[in-house]
Amino acid sequence: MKKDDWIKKMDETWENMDKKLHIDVPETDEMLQQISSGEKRYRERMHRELCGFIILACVLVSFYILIAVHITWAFYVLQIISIIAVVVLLLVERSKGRVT
Amino acid sequence: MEESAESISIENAKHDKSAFSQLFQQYYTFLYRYLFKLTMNKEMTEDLLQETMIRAYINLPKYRYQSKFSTWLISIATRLYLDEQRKKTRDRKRQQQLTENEKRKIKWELEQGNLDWSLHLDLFASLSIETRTLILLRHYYGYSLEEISAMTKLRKGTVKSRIHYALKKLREEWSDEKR
Repeated sequence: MKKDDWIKKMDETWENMDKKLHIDVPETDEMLQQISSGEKRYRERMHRELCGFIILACVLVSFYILIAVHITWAFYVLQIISIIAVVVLLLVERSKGRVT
Repeated sequence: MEESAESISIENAKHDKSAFSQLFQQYYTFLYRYLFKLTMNKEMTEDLLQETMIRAYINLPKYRYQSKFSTWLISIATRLYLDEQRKKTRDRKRQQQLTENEKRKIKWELEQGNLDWSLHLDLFASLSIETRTLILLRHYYGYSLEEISAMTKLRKGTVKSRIHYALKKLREEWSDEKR
């Protein structure tokens, strides 16, 4: 990789920063405590997000049923929208590596 | 030999919190330095580092040795940092560039920690958060464009062009300042 003057000077600045920066590495016990509380927080957040998603899905499905029952052509439109939504969801999940 | 010792530690860390914290301690300084260069703020660095540690612990069973462990950790830290900054969409300008007030605050904090604020840092801080991350990863840490692309979830071409134009801008501003 080609390094010009500017990059060299910037590297020097960062190296200097690394040398001067005082870092206190936490003890194992402290880390364990942080992991436990953080993990709990993370699981709670995931749980909240899942609940929110389920509520949203229920609302949308109710809306879907309501429209599909009352307007005949809307049933077909909603079918197409659902198929597109599933394809988009699968593509997103595939890009994240969760679906192959 | 060293690599197999590390993979043993990683395998142990997948099942044991204590082994994980010992493993993470080895990378703590490396990650701290990286995040500090991005944020230039100790509190933010420590918060991000703690979050990185938790995410790494939770996702460790998914680690498949496709990259170095340090690269994997730096990817988590980078994504967390970028996601956090992207969430701050209400104030678009703040997301794009550091304001003068923030720069002053950072300068003051660095001086308190006996660190110098150079013209280079000043120019570097004037770039957008994403571009700063890309330049740091490419030119200081030496990651390939493919690795950076995977870390930041940006296309390889986008990474390349953003680095190119940012460096061009920096060089121009630097030569203007020198005159």
